[in-house]
Amino acid sequence: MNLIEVLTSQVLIKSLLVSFLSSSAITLLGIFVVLKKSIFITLAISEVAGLGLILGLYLGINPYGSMILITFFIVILFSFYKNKKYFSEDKIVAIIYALSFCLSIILLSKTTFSQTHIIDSLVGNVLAISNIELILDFVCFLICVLFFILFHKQLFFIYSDPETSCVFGLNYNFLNFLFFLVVGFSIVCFLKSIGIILSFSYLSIPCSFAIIKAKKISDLISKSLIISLSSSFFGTITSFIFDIPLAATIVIYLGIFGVLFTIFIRS
Amino acid sequence: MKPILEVKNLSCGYNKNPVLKNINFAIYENEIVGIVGPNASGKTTLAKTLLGIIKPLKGEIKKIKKDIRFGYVPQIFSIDETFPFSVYDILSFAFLSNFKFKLRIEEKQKIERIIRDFGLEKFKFSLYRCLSGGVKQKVLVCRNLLKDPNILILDEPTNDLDISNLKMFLEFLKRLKQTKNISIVLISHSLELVINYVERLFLTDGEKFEVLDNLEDVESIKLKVSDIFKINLEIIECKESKFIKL
Repeated sequence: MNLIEVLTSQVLIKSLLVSFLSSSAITLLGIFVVLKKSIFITLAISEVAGLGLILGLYLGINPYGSMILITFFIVILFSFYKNKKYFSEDKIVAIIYALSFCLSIILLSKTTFSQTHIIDSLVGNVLAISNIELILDFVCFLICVLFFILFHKQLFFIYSDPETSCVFGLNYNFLNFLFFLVVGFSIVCFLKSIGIILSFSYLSIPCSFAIIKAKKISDLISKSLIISLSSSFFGTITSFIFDIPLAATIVIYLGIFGVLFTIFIRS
Repeated sequence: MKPILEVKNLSCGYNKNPVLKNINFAIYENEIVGIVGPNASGKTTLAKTLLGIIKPLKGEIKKIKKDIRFGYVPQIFSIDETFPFSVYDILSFAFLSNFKFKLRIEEKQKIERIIRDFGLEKFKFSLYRCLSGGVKQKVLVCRNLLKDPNILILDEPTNDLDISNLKMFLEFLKRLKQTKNISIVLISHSLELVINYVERLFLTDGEKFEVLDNLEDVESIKLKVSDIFKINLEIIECKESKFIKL
């Protein structure tokens, strides 16, 4: 297969489409994850979603059903958990992450499924995406973008100044729950195509770099999207040309473009 | 002066552990009152209880009129400044509600008017995090004014202000009280900074809660401040006036 054939193949176009949909949707949500300083909560949610999938396969039930159920449970826990003196949020995150990761490995060792399942849940498998799943990814993208458009101001307010927002009549618990619900939903929807690591990277890396040079909120949003979409584009092309794992390649590009942005883009 | 808020036998705190117990006081219309005490004496807890952020453990907070609205300026460090919010962004947050997605034209006009009235034109699109402490406080007060509060509670507004900004800001609050007809509650641990700007004083050390209605009575202030802050104070006389020497 020569370069032209690679670049015009249906599989590449589908992969690019999935990458663009997932990267833009998750990056928009990542802005609030960075503002709320809850980056590792999203990693724990991603890991638990992966566990839900594996648990479903192990028990012989619908893996997507078990994934949605267990993710919903963990979203409720993180949304309403209040920091306790001796049991802070980061300890809960660490415990849940470690337990779900280890439980996933134990379940996989006791099933007939090959190691590819754990690799797929970690890094996704965009090549195995069916047309129906592509449509589902598109619906998820629309929901995330719509949520961002409707609630971005409220989320900026409650996460930057929670106490005043309560005095002004905003319901922190409700909006926070709604946000985690959409984050959990997007992780579940995009898990098969992009996996845990790439979801987590889209949630944290683009905004973390974009914030360094952003001079206003619209600037922050556009810079985050540029880092994310350009990494998805070049990552997908590179992955196809050199036949290397897609998610890992995009994550490397996210890091490279983030650093380049910080150094060369004028604020 | 008419009371607009009455607090009766109030106990407040966290996780059923009271920080302040059985306190009683009233806030009157159009006054500046100070809540002063050492660090960790429950001043912020009391403010949060009045605002409804935390529930009272016991007692009653009685609003004399049903439509009493609170404004709140939190401690400056409690606002996350990582994100590039402009002054306009910060002000526009005043009109948000859970399911409101766009500002109305009259709300935009109100923001423009307050920017003009309070001399914030040159900061309109400046980054909030790049402003001086005094201007930041002014922006946060203006955000509250957009909601037309009856009682404005400011938590440690004098922190982070140098002497010129401090004087400017406290004078600004004094003018605000006169022009907008609101009651201002000033929380501070620095008695010396707020004493000249308040009309009444609540002193607390976490165990005791003293209400000083007459700030002309220097003897009484000396006794109560000495007791609350556990320090010895003396009174000096100068040109027939009495002062407390710190």
